[in-house]
Amino acid sequence: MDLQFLIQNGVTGIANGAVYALIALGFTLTYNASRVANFAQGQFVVLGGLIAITLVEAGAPLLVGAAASVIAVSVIAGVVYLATIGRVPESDPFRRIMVTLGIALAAEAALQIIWGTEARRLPPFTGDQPVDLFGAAIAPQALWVIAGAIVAMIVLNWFFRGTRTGQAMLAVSEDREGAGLLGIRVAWMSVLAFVLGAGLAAVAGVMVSPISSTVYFHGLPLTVAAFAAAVVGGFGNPVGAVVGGLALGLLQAFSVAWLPSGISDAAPFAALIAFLILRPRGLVGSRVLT
Amino acid sequence: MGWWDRVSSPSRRTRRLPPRALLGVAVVLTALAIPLFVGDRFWLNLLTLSWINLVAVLGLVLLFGHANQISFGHAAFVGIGAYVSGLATMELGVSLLVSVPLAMAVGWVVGYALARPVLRLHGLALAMATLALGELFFIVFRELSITGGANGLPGISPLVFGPLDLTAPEGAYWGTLAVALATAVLCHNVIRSRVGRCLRAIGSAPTAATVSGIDAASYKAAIFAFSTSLAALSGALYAHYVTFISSDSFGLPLSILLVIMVVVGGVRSLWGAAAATVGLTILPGYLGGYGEYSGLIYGALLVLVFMYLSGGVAGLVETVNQELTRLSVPKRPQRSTPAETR
Repeated sequence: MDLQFLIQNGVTGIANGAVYALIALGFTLTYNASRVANFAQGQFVVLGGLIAITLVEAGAPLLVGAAASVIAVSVIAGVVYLATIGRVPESDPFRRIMVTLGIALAAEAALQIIWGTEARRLPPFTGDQPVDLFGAAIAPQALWVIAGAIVAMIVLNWFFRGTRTGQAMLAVSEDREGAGLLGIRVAWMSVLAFVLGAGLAAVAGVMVSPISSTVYFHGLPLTVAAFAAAVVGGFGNPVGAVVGGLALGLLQAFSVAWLPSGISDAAPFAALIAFLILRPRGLVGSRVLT
Repeated sequence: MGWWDRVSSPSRRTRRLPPRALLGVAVVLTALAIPLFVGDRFWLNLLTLSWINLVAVLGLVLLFGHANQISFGHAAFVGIGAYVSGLATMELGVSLLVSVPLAMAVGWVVGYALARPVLRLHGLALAMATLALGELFFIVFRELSITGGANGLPGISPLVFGPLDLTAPEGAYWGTLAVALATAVLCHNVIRSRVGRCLRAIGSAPTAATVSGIDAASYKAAIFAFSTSLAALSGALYAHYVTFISSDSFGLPLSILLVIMVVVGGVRSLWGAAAATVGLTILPGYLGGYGEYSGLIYGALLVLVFMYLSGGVAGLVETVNQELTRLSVPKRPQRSTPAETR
């Protein structure tokens, strides 16, 4: 096991992990502020990728396509939330979860009907020429993904610490009734959190498309990966979502390197079950999922 | 309520058959008579698959509707049943009279072994843990060489139970319907028994149930094993009916479909689940070449049921029935249905 092997798989793992971290972060923020475990999170990732691909194929510059895609996914998510999940009483989280599962199934079918069964790919942001890092060949897109995730996290950190809306959302996550008594519009914060989660998913979808392509059925596996990342890190904890995402990405990269190709798919599921049963607080620690 | 009420509770005084029982008998007779009128093999095939699905769905009604333990991984146990029974007939050359019970036994044992650790989880955690378990089994089915993986396992023995040859379309229909009916009677009796009441106690108030002396962990493990055993029976029937299985049939989509059938039926209702299972299984037949729209319909149904119709098909019928009763007998105070009979 030499340095080149470690760096090669390490960077791949961190890049994948950064994507999982973003999706898991969106999942966690949504769950904390609106008590919705969003099964459709993965479909928002795919939708973000496909809209960006369509715009870029139609001649839009990459940055415009990406921005338009993130905005479009956020708007769609807001409409979907107001039309469906938002109308189910908050007191019944199970019903809300099942509604998001229904949305996930319907969205997957809609993605297949609109965009077909062919896997599409956004062009890499800065070409395909690999970068040499201590003898390991690194795809530049992997570095873009990592940088993009870091930027997204910095922006989120500013949002939660530096803006009144962000503070209000944190307050709602902490204590719904208390926040409501202080005059924060809790229902509105739930919508915003859902939209924010979907927007993060779309960002992840745009960034990962050049690496892993985008096709309609990628949604559910991504949701499961995001959930696994959240549990491994510590459910409900944003730092945990990032740590868990990175851990899961590294686990996957090295299991692909060491295990036969089909069996390595089992790694995230095995990690999810192991953590749920043996260490439900996760790596970083947080509330125990009930 | 059905005729088996009388068998299970002899103290009940004899009286005229209630309208519901008559309706039940009429539905069963209609189901039995369908092959006499429907000559089309296409629809007969879809209905046969409905009865096969129903066996697994009924077990989930008990697990989910009554004990309140969700599973998004039951496709794994359908797969275990299919592969165990299929491979037993192919590799060991045994009859279906041996291989199908063997499949059920394996389904029970594996389900019980997994239930002990996994059913300590609740709610969302349980949903995701069972989902992950299902995916792990799916990967095992796909990667093992003996199962043929995604390329499939051809040449499984057809539906011949010893002297009973059910390979003709009508035979398969009646055979699988008989198994589904037997399963329904069994589940109905479990629901109305002490075990059923314990399950509902565990499902609605686990702490109170434990304090009342119910060994919740054992009951949960037992009902999980019961449902996985029925899932394995369903898988075994499927394998011998279709005679070709591939790992793709036993993944997350089947697990989710089984849950949808349970919730659209009304979660706790056996006959509601039956109606939902038949409706959703034959749905792709109506869509013809537009198979991708079935996902859209399944998803939309799930959203609509959980937004407006938590009682599913059974709840809808109950509401309509109460409205009709209210309209036809305006003066008499309405008798509320006891929770037990739902």
